[in-house]
Parts: sequence; C-alpha cells; structure tokens
Amino acid sequence: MLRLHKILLVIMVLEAIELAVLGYSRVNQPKLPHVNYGMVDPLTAEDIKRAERQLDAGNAQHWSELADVYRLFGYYPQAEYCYAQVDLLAPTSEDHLYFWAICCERMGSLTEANQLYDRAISINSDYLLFCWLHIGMNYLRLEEIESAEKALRRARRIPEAKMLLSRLLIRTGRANQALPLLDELSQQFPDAHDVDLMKSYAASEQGDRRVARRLQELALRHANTIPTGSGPESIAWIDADGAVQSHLDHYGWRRRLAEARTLDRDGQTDEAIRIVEEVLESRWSPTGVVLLADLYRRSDRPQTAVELLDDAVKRVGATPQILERLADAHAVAGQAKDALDLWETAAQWQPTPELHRKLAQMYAQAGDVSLAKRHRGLQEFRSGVDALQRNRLDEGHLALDQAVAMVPDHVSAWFYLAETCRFLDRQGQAEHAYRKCLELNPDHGRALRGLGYLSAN
Amino acid sequence: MGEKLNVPAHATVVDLDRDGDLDIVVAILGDVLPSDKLVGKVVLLANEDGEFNQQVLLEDVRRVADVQPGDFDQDGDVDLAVAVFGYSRGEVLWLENRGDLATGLRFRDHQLLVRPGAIHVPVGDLDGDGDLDIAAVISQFEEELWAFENIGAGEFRSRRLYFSHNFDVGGAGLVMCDLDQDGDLDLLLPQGDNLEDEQYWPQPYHGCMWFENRGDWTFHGRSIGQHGGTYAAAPGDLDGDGDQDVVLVSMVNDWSNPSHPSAVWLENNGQQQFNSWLLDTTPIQLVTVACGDLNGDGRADIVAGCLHLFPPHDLDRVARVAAWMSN
Repeated sequence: MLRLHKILLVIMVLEAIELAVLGYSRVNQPKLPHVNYGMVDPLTAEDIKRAERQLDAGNAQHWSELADVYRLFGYYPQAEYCYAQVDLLAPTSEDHLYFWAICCERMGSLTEANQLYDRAISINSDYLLFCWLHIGMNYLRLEEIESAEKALRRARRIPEAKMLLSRLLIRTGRANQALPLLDELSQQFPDAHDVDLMKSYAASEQGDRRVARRLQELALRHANTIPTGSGPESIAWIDADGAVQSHLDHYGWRRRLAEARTLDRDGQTDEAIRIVEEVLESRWSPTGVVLLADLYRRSDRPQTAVELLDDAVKRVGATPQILERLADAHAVAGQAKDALDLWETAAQWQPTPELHRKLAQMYAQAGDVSLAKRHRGLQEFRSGVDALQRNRLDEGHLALDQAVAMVPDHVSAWFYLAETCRFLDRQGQAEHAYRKCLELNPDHGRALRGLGYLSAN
Repeated sequence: MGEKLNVPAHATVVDLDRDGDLDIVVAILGDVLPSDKLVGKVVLLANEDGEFNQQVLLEDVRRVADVQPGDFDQDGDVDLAVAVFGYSRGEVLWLENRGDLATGLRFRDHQLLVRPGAIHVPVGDLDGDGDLDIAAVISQFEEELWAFENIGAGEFRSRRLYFSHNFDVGGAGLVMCDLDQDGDLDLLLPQGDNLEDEQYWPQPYHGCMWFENRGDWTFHGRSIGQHGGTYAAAPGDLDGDGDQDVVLVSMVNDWSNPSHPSAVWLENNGQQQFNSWLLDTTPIQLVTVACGDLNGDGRADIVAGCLHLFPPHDLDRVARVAAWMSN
C-alpha cells in the first residue's frame, strides 16, 4: 500500500468514527418539545428557531439559555423541559431551579413550584429571598394563609413581600401589625400611592375614617408605586435613567425596531426607515407605525406619514397617540385644518399640555386670539393637574391660577385650584375656588365634599 | 350611534331623560391599556327621534368600566351607579339625578368606595326591602366583592361581602341573578383575568363563584365551575329543564393548544350542582357573554364578544361577535 493510500485510509477511518459519534449523539440527543410558532410573529419565531439550532445537547448552559428564550415568550412547557435537562446535566446549578419553579408557577403547578423553590433555598440560591417571596405568593394563591405569612416574613426585605404581608395582616384583623411595616415602606418609597392606599385600608379597619380619607387623598397625589415584579424573572424593568427596558427587545420585531432607532440616532434615517418598513411587512404593529411615521415626518415625507397613519386608523381604529401623530404630519404638510381637527379630537380623548400648546399655537397663527387664549389656559390647567398629581403643590397652584385667569368658566380648573389650596392649607383661597366651581356647577359632588372637609377642619 | 367615543367599555339601554324612548348610557374607559389618567367618562346617547345626541354626564375621572341605572333615592327619576376602574387608583360612585324638565339632566356625584379595579356595578334589591342596592366587584390587587345597602334618602351602607387572599385570582365581572330561583338575588363572580402577566396562562383557581343570598346580608360563596381564563359568566336555561345553567367564556388561556375550550357551559341539575360541558374552542379570547332567547324556541341562546389583543391571530379562530343557538 502506498503511503498516500495509508494516509487516505486513516482519514476515512477517522471520518467514519466522527460520523458514528455524531450519529450516536443525534440519536441520543433529547428531542426538543413541539413549539407552536404561531404564538409569536415570524421574526421572533426565526430568532427562537436560531436559538434552538444553536443548542448543544450536552451543554447545560445551552439548555438554560434556550429555556430562558422559551420562558420569555410564554412557552412554559418547553422551558420547563429544558430546565429539566439542565437539572440532569448540572443538578447543583442554582439558577435553573428558580426559573424552573417560575415556569411551574406560571402554569399553575403551585405545589411543584414551591418544591423547586425549596430545593433552590436548600442550596442557598442567589435568589433566596425571591424564592421565599414566590412561595408566599403561591400559598396566597392556594389560600393557605399561615404558610403564606411564614414565607412572606422571610422575604420581607423585598418591598413587594412587605406589601403582601401587610395586606394579609389587615385582612386577618391585625392592622396594628401591618402599620409599622407600611411605615417602613413609606420611608423607603415616600411617593408610593399603593402604600398610602394600604395604610388607608388599615386605618379603615381600625375605624379611623378621618385618617383613611387623608391617606386616600394622599394616594391621588403620589405618582409612583413600590417596585413589583422585580425578581430576576422580570421581563421588563426600569433602568437607572428611568427608561423601560425589556428582554423582549432582543428578539424578533422588537429587536429590529430597536436597531432602527439606533440607526436613526446615528443619522442613518434612510436605513432605519428601510428596516421599519420591512418589519411592518412581516409584523404590523401600531408601535412600528408610530415610529415609521416619525421617521417619514422628519425626512420631509409628511404626506407618506399621513397615508401610513390613515391606514393605521382604518386597521385598528383611532387612538389619541395615532391621531396626534397624524395631526403632526398634516401640520408639517401644511394642512392646518386637518391638523386642528385631529388635535382637537385627541385633546378631547386624552388631553395633555402638549396637545393644548399645539392647538394654541395653531389658533394663534390662524389669528383666532380667543381660541388661542383658551388653549393656553387649558395647557396651564393640564400642567397644573399633572403637578398636583405629583404632589408639586406650589407648581400646581401657579399653573391652575393662570388657568382660571384664562378660562374662568372651566369648572375643573376651579376645582383643582381649590384642592391645591386646601392641601397647601390656604383655607380662604380654597373656599373661594370651591365656591367658584360650585357657581359653575352646583352639583359638583367633589367640590361639595372638599368644602365640607374645609368646614370640618 | 356614538362616534368619537374613545374606548367605550359598556353600554346600557334606559330611558334616562324620561321622554318615552330608550337612550344609551355608555361607560368610557378612555384607554384600553392600564392607565391612571383622567380619561374616563359617562356619556349619554340621548335618543331624539332615532338620532343619538351625545351628552357627557361625568368626566375628569379615571377609566370608567361600567355604569348602571336605578332610582336609588326613589324620587322618580333614574340615577346611575358608576364603576371607575382606573388602574392603581379608582372608585365606585353613584350619580344622583337632580335634573328636571326645565334644567335638563344634571347629576351630582357621590363616592361610595375608594378602591382601584371596579369592573361591574350591578343594581338590584339585594335585601328585599323594596329599594335598589348596588354591588361591585373590585379586582386588581384587592379581589373583593362589595355591596352598598340602600338605607334611604340617598344614603348607603358599605358591606364587604367577600375577599380573596389570592391577589392573583383575577376577578373579571359580576352578574346579579336568582341562580337558585328562590326569589332573591344572588351574585355570580367570574374569575380568571391575568392580563397583568406578560405571558398569561390558565390557572387552576380560574372559574366562577356563586354567592348564594341567604338573607340578612349573608352571601355564601362557592365555586361552581373551573375554566381557565374565565372572563365572563352568564346565566340562562340552556337545556330547557327549568333551572338556571351558566355559560363561562375565556379570554386568557393556553391558545397554543387549539383544543383548549374558549367557552363552556355549566349544567345545573336543579340542586345547584353543576357539570361542565365544552361549548366551543373557537372563537378564542372571549371577554363578554350574554344569554337570551334569540330564535324564539323558549330556550336560551348564547352571544359572546371577543377582544383580540394578543396572538394567535389565526383568522379561523378570531371573530368580533359569536352566537350559539339552541336546537
């Protein structure tokens, strides 16, 4: 045998061995469970299929990553299967137990979920506290109150656990035990209205209606809540800059739209437009339409934006957001009347200071001084209410004072001015504003109640 | 009939202006998505010779999910009960009709309860004393059932009839009916809304509770049927045997499995013991249901409405309104 033949033979034998090994591993590779890709859009389905193709069945980390993808999109049985594979390959891994339990919990297998959380706790998982929180939540779902209370007490460093524990205590006649917990939450989250409301329930249980009412009113002026859904399984969260982030943004149409936004920020607007158009072809969505309309408008193609948004209204009906975008596009296209009509409708449906600012500006340009002034007043009114709802009382007072000066026939402007003055402890001004409100609408129940609170004080 | 109404959530037919024809009172949610904005309204579509003119009866409130009529103060005109769902803040109101022929319709708002998540406010004489009481289902984090006992002169006494420790049970509506036909009004509470989860799934505690009115403001609650993602319930004699059966429809479910039922009916054996039967697997994502005799055969037929917010969007599984006729 020639030397060359020998080499070729060795290569052939090696290839045969490799094929045999590959074939054996294919045959023995756990088969992925069936996935109904119709539950997601085609672009997301492609990303999921890519993750499936990248799976190395002998690698626990790969199974875990695929499980995370399934879990994100609600394919819980498939995710559960993958976490079970992780458990076979790396039973001491900490993460998979927690997320496996989450899948069971979401599918309503609460006892199984709690067993998995217990296992995670037994190996001192990084998510220990969240395990206790979820055990507590599951016992609440099962209405097993004593077990729920025990678990929630162990998780009480998590604000959500403290809130659930307070709720449980109030409902089992122990409002006095709930109040210190809620006070701790108030200190930690001073503008959380859910804490105010829970404290008001505790006060009601204790028969203190006056305190309950004060807390209910406070809840209307606090804009935030305690963080909930803050566990590692959360799909969306708010980052340090206050922006909503989502794991889903890394997949499918959302990923493509995020890419388009980045390109637009980098000045590549034409490329961004191309991508969004492509996405809308594959998966139509109001989010994509609004983004594309903005891109068209800023690319001096307002008429194309108008056509796109008109089509959106035909498809899914008008929303204030789409109407405002449509009006903006009409305005840029020089179609002032269309813009005015649409802004007016949007302002009736979901009024904002910005909408009234646009209307005021447009009416001023058209020479209608009276309507321009009215919308400036309404702009101040909305700004004042926004400030009041964030407990910025001085700012609200200033805006509402200007509002009633410009639109003195506006019932709600007088009412909110009165409320702001009452909260600022300016009794005389509050009474004056309530009475102005009631002159305009003698049946304004809230104003009558507010006036009553003044008298009681 | 009602153009430019932003997200109407419920419509009720009543002669509100007492001119002899039927008007429509509409609860305006104002935003289909969770929101605490002041976008809710109560709007009257006043029937004037077949033309419907809009009049705003209540505004500057959070999202309104339901409005129901009743003469609560017994002064001969129609007042309104209002469920201001809101989102994380809401309330239950009643609107006292203070109008007359000279001034037109005027309503004064009275607050009955401060809670987020009021969905329905059915009206009826729950205690059999001849005046109208109001019930309310409170969902969101609270999961409570309330009644407001009419004690006369426009005053109400609040009574919490039920609460669930299960913060996640998903109260989805409230129906007042005499399920056991003993002459008093009971309550049906469908439970199964879990839209708060990004990826929803049917849960074992979803279904329908029946609150049997045992008099003296005692309501005994028990589950009468399990159905994942139950979003609405409707009573009716579906099998023509003289007792009240119940239809349940599902909004959130495991729709990746085409065999999952979107609607079931609970057959009453006459003793308020119920057997569950599959009604249909399509259309999916049903949010409302009602029973009535549409074909005049003396048996209840079923009509349901859909809300398709999420996939799947298979054309053969979606619809706007669906009906099942008795045969």
